[in-house]
Amino acid sequence: MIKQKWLGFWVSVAVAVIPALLWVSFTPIRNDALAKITALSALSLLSFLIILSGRLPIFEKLFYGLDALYKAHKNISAIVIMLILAHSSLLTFKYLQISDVSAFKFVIPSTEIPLLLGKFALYIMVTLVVLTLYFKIKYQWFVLSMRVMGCMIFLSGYHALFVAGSDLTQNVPLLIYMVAIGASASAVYVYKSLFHGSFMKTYSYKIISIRKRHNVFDIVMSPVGKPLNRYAGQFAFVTFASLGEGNESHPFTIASASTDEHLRFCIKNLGDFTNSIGQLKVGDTAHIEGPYGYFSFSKIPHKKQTWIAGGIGVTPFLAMAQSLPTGYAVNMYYCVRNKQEAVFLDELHAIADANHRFNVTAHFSDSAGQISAKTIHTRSSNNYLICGPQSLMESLKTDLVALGTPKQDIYYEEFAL
Amino acid sequence: MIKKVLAGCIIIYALFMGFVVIKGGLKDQKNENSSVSSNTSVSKPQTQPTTGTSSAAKKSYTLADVSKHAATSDCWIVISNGVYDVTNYVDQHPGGAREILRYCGKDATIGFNTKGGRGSHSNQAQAALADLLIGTIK
Repeated sequence: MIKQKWLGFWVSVAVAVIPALLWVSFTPIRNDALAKITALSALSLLSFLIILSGRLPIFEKLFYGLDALYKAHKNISAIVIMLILAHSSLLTFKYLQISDVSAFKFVIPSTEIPLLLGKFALYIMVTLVVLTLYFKIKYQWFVLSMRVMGCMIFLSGYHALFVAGSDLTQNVPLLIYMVAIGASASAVYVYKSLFHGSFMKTYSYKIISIRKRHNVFDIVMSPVGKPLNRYAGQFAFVTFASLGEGNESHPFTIASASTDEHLRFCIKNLGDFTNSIGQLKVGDTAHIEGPYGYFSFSKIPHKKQTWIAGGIGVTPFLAMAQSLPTGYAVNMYYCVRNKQEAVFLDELHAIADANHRFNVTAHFSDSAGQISAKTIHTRSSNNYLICGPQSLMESLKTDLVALGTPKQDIYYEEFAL
Repeated sequence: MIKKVLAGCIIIYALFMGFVVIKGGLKDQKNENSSVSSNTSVSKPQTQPTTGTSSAAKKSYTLADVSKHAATSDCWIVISNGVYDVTNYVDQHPGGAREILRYCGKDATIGFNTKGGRGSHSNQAQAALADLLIGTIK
């Protein structure tokens, strides 16, 4: 399983390295070799990013979970920007060696269209990556930014093919590779962004109950046609037709048991979109795309497990607790600020009453502080599943490892989309 | 971690670009001013022993032949039916290498005659060009 976790990483490395190798093998090395190679790797990785954003099942498998795929997506975007900056800097440096003036003339907007488009793509991409990485922007703005970012494949592709000094068209193997990956990316982009297509089957559901408990909307839906097959702990992309948010879908964890044909979503009121959940009514339709994710007790070797849920991170565990087959022994910690926030505690207690191998302990951070690794750590062989705020997951992971827990025994859902 | 590295890269890039624009821009301004008073801004480039200066092997080429030499490392251009191998001259072009590189493998007559839309080339420039002649268009 560890090996599989690295598979996505190595595929990404290959995507970056292949054009470089092809370039080196078929083009005579010149003083601007590095500038060309960085550009080709960047373009190849940018295409790969767009393909990844298509949420194709095969890539979810490759990265072992969509959450891990999105984390990789973020890191690759940063690397693409670094490569593009290196490409631009190296070329500028080349002209700087000729004269300051020729470097200046290279940097300022030029009348040469392919060059101008390349510069344009660079500035847009840097702006968007800075916006999405360093600022907390609304989800719909994030989606829009990614769409504009995807568009840059057309500008940079044109730039790469037609800019003066490009030797892409003279290196046939490289040209074939770049056109293949670029065309795949363009196809995914057009299908996803312009036609709102999905590579996963979508299912129709109808809301049968909706209640607000503290700051959480608890929604139950029943299938209109075929129900969604999944295992406990997975999530799905949900589009509510009545909310008028266009075709935008949002990822939510399924909180109902995997054997239950109903889907239950427990959505915390966090911002603009989650606020509008309150406008939903019984009878409204939801389109479900999925299932996604690898965060589940059933995907883990040990049957003796410790679950740690932080706040709304409880949702995958709700599904798992109800789906727990015999043979598993689970100790669960439900961490919330105070009793009012422990919306699902009674429900978890009821499951624990029916299954003596499932225990649940509530932890209130207002009175007891953040849960410490010492509290949850067990000496015997055990697997830890953590889902909650990033800070909680990271500090617990570090502390558990310090207490002697092997890294591979700790699993967490990185729900950072 | 990667966010910090990226932030560093962006800042360094911005500083580098700022430096290039300010330094190059000031010099460009100066050059333009001095070229008004005297016509010596175009210095005579070194002659290239490797390029065809002798009249011995002046061949004739088709435009298709020329188009095969369209790389930075192998750059031929056509000006008024003359074929020029400018590969080794590119880096010495006072107006910037890019102004020539865009024409590699192509006809650059208009670009040369109008100095890319900014006037015309000096006599020294015409002489430097003559040194690079390797043939004519069929």
